[in-house]
Amino acid sequence: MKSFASELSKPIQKPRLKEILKELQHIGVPSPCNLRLYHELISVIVPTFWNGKINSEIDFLLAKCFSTLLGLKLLCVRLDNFVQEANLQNIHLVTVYLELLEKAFECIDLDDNCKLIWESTVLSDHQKQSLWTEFIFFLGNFKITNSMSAAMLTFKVYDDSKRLKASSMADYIGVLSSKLACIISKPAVKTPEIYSKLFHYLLHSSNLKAFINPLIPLTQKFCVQLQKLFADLTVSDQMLFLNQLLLEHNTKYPTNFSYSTARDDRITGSLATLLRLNFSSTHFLRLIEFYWGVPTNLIIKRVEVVCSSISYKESDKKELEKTVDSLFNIWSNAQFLRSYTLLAQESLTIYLLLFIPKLEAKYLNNLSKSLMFSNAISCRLDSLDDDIRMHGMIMAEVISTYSGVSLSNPLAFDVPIMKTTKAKVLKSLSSLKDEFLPIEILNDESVIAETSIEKEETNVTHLEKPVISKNDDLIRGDDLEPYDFPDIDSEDTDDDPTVSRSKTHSPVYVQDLCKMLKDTESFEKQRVALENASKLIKRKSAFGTELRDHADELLQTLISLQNRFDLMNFDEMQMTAIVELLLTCLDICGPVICTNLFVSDYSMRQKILILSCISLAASKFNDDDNERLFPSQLLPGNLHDQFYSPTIEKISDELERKLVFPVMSECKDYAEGPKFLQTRYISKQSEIESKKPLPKANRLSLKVDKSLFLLLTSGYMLASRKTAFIEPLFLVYYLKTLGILFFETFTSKIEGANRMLREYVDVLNEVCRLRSDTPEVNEGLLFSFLAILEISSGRTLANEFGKHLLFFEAYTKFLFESPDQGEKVKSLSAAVLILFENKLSEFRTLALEKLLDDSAPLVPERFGLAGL
Amino acid sequence: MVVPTPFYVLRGHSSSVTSVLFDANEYLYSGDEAGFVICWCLTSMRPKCAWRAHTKTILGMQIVKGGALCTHGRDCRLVTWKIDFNCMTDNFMSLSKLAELQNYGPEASSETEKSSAFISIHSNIVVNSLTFCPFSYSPQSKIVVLCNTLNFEELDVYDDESLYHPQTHKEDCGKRLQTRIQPEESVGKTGSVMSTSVTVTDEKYVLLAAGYESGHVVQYICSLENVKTVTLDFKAVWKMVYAYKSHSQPVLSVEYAGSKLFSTGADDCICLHPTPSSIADDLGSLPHPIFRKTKHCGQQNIRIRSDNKILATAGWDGRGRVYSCQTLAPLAVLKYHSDGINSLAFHPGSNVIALASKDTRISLWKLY
Repeated sequence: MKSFASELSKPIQKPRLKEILKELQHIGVPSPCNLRLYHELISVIVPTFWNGKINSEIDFLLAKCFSTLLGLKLLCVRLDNFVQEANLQNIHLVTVYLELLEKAFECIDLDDNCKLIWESTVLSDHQKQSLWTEFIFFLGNFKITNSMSAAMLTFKVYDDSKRLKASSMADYIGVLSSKLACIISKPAVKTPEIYSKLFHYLLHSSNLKAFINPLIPLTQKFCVQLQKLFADLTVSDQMLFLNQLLLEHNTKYPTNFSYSTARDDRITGSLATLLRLNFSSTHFLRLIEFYWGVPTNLIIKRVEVVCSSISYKESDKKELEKTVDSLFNIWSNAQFLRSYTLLAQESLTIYLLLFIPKLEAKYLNNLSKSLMFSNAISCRLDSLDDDIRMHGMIMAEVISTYSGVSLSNPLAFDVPIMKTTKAKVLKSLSSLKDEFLPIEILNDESVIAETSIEKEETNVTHLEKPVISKNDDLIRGDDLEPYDFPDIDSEDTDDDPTVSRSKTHSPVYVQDLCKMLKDTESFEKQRVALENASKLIKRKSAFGTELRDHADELLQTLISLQNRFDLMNFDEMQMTAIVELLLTCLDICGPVICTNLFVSDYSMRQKILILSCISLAASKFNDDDNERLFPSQLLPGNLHDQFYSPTIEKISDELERKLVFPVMSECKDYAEGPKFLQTRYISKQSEIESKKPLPKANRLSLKVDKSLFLLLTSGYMLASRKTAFIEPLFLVYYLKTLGILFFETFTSKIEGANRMLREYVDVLNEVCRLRSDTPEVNEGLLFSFLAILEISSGRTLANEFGKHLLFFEAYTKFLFESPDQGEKVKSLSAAVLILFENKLSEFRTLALEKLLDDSAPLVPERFGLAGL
Repeated sequence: MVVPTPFYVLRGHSSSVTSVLFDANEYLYSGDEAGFVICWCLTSMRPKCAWRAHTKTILGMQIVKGGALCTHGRDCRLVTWKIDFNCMTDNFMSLSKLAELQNYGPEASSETEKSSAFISIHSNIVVNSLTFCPFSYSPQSKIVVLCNTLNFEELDVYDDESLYHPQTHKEDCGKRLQTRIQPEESVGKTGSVMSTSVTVTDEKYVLLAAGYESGHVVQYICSLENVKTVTLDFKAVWKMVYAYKSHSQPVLSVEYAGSKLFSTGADDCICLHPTPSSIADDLGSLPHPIFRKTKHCGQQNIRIRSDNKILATAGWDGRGRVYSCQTLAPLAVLKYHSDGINSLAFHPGSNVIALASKDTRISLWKLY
C-alpha cells in the first residue's frame, strides 16, 4: 500500500493508474496507510484524471475505490471544508468531488463493505462491530445527502434540470432500499439481521413510500432472508413497515370483481407467511372481528383470513370458530341488513366466504342447521336488492357444499342473477388456494429459491367439492326445449286456494317449530306450535336425524317459554313436549337438561318444570312396558285428563302408598292379632306382594346413570352451596325426582349401579345435614329412604353404607319424635322405621362393625406396640 | 331460450275478457264480462267489428258449421251469429267508437245500425246458464252439450240442428236428444258441472267428459250412430266408463286432445286421463290418470294445440303456462298480465296463442 501511495504522489500514466486502482478496490478499513492512500487519490489523482464521462473506466474505478466508508466519509469532509471556506475558486474541484461522490454512492456494494469489515484480519471483533455500526449510521444519517446539498447550495453548481441522486432524500432512500432489497434477495447472505439498523434508519426517514416500493417485490415471494430480517426488527419498526406495506398493497391492487389469479395467490401466500410467522393467529382474529368494515381489497382480506386460520393448536381453532360465530351473528342480524351500507355487507360476506373452507365440516353442519343461519338466508332472499339476494344465495350454496350435508345433490340456485360474473367471482372465493408456506418448511433453511418451493396448500383440509349435476326430474320425451322462466315465479305451497293464506299452519319441520316458539309476539304461532309440539316430536322421532339435530335447541326453547298470552293448558303442553323430547332423545337432552338445571340462571318455576319433566319421563318409560288400562276402566277423555294427568306429586304419592302399604298391613295384622275368621292368609300375602311395585329393566335404565341420574347428583353436590339449591321448594321436587328416577330404573343390572347408589346416599346425607324444618322436604327424604330400602338388599346397604344407614335411621327417629313435623311425616317415618327394622335386623351388627371399622384408624390400639 | 314476451297486446274491452277464440281465417273473437264481442283482424291487429251479443257475461264461444260464431252467455241464451265480412264497408272500427259502444250501450252508438246490417242472429235458444259451465260442441258428432235446465249436476245433449235452424223463434228451447246425464250413484256426490268436452274417436264413438265441483272427472261413451237417438233415459245411449276424483278442488276445465283428456282445477294439478277405446270398456278398467303438480293453484282453462305437442293453461296468478303434452313438463311461463287469465286459445294454423285476462287485455304470443 505504501508503495502505491508513493507511486500515486508522482506523475503517473493512465494504464498504470488503472492497474493500481484495480488493485485498490478493497481498501477501506481505516488505517493510517489507507488514509494516506485516499489523500493521495483525492488531492492528486481525482482532480487530474476525473473526466466526468459516463463510460470512463478510470471514473468507474475511482468511484469504486471511494465506495467504502472511508472514501465516502473523506469526500464528505472535503466537501464540508469547501462549503466552510466558501471560496468560489474551488468550484471546479467541488464539481468533481460531487460527481465522484454521486458515482461512489451509486457503486456502494453493501455486501462487499460487509465482507470488508467483518472478514478483516487486522480488526478485533469489537472494532468490526463498531466499524459496521459506524458505516450503517453513516448511511442512515444522510451525511452524503447533507454534504452534497450544502455544497450544491453554496456553489450553485447544479440547477434543477440536472439532479444528483444522492442529494435528494427520496432518491437516496430509493437507491439504498434497492441495494438492501438486492442483498436480502440473495440466498447466499447468511445474516441479513445485520441490516436491521439500516432498515430502522430508513424506516424512520420522512419518505416511507420510497423505502417500501423497492421491497414490495421481495414481500411477494417466499424470502427467508426477509423473514429473518423482519423478525429482528423492533415491534414498532415491524408495525411501521407492515402499515406501509399493506397500504401499498391496498392501493396497488384495487378491489374489482375478477377471478383470483396465480399472482394474487402468490402475493397472498407470501404476505400471509410473513405476517403469520411473526404474529399469532388470534391477533388477526381480533383484527377481523373489530375492523371487518374497513374497506380493504381482496388480497388484504385474504391475507387476514389465511393468517387467522393457520394454526396447529386446537385452542386456536376454537377461537376461529368463536370469531366466525360472532361475524355470522352480525351477518344474520336483521339490523345489519337494514342499517349497514352495501359495501359493508359485501365486505362481511367476503370475509365469511373466505372463512368457510377453513372451518370444519361438523361446525358448518351445525351452523347450517341453526335458526340464526336460516333466518339470515331467508331475510336475504326476501330482499329487493339483487346484491343482497345474491349474497344470501351464495352463502347458502357454499355452506351446503362445505358442510357436506348433501354431497350428491348440493344446493344450487338456478336463477339468472347467479350466473353473473360477480356472483361467480364471489362464489369462487370459497375455493381459493392460498399458497401459504407451512411454518416448518419455512423454518427449514434448505428452502432457498422461490422456484424450488413446493406450493403447499394450507393445513386446513378442503372438502372435495362435488360436481354439481343439474337434477331435473323431468324426462323430456319430446324435443321441445323449454323457454327460460321469469326471475320471479312464486309457487303456491298450499293446495287449497280457498283457505286464507294468513292462517298459521302447524309446523312440519322441527326448525319451523323452534321458529314459531321463539316468535313471542304472535299468539297464533305460539298456540299452534305448542299444540303440535309433542305430536311433531313423536312423529319426527320415528325417522331421520332431524329431531336429533335440533333437539338441543328445541329443548332450550321449550324450557325458556313463557305464557305471555295466557294460553289454556300452557303448562301441560309445555311439559308434554319436554317429556316427549326426553323420551325420544334422552342421550342428547338428558345431559343438557341436567347441566342447565344447575348451571343456567333459571327461575324456580323452570327448575321445577325440569325436575317434573324428568320424573314424568321416568314414569312414562316404565308405563310403556306396562299394560294399558281397559277403556271401560277409564273416565271420559277430559275428566280422565283432569283427574289422572300425572304430576310429580301424584307419581310420588302413588309410589309412596304402594311402598308403605305392605308394611302397614303387616303392622295392622300384628297389632290386631290373628283374625280367627280369616282363612285366606296366604292369598292375602300374595295380594300384598302383588301390590308392591317392582322395578324392572326398561329402556330408561340403559341410559339413566350417565344421562340423568349421576348428572343430577353430581350437579347438586357442586351447586349445593348456592342458596337457590337449598330452598325447600327446590329440595322437595329434587328429592322426589331422584326418588322416582331411582325407583323406576334402578336394578343391579345397570352399569353404574353401585356408583348410583353411593351418589344417591351422599346427596341424601347432604340434605339431612341441612336439618330442614319444612315437613315437605322431610317427606321427600323419607320417600328417598323408602326407595333405597325397598330396592337395595340389607346386606349391601349395611356393608357399603353402614354409617350412613345408621345416621338415616337416627334422623328418621328424630323426625318421628319431633312434634312439629305434621301427621304425614310422622306416619311415613313410622313406616320407614319399621322398614329399617325389617331390613337391618340381621345386619345391624354388620353396619356397626363397618362404622367402627371406618373410625378404626383413630383408635390408639391400632398402632399396636409401636404406639406405646 | 329467452323468456317469451307477447308480440302484440289487443286493448279494446272495457271489462274483464272472459272468452277468446280464433277462427280458421284471420279473425280473433273475444267476449267480455259485459256481454260484448269484438272481432279482431289479425293482419292489421285492429277491431273489425263489435257488438253486444249478450246482456251478461259471455261464458264460451265456438265456431260452428259454415263459419258461424256461436256464443253462450249468462243471460241464458245460446246464439249463433252470422257475420258477413264481405258486406263490411269500413275496414276497421276505431277504438274511440269501440269505447263509445261499450260505455253508452248499443243504442247510443251509431255503429249499431251499421253492425246490424252485416251481423245477424242465425238462431237463438234458451238454455241454462246459471253456472259457469260453457257449452261444448263437436262438429263430427253434431251435438251440443250443456248443463241441464233445472239441475246443475246433470247434462243435456242437444242436436246441433238447433244452432242452424233459421226459423228458431225467440223462446225456442232447442232440440234435446238426451237429458239428465249424471254419474252413477257409486261415484258419490259430485256437485255442479264445471266444464265439459266432447270428441269423436275412431269415427265410431262419441266421448263426453265432464268435470265436477267435487273434483271428479267423469267420461261417458256412446256410439256415433246412436248419439242422435232421442230418449228420456240417457243410459240407453251413454255409458259411464270412467270416474276419478283427480282434483282436490273443483275441476275448472276439461279438454280432449286426440285420444287424451286433460283437466285442470282450482288446485295445482294438471291431470292426463286415459280415454276409453270402445264401448265395451267398463268402469274401473281404465288405468289411473297421470298427475303433474304445478305448484300454481287455480288453472282456469286448458287448451291443447292442434298438433297435440303442447298445452297451455290460464292461471289465476296472471300467467299462462305452457307444458309438454307428452310429459307434462313445464316449457314456458307467459308473464304479462296484471290480473288472472280467464281464457286462452291456440290459433289452429300457426304457433300463436291468445290469452284473455281480467285486466281487459288480450295478449298474443308466438311459441314453438
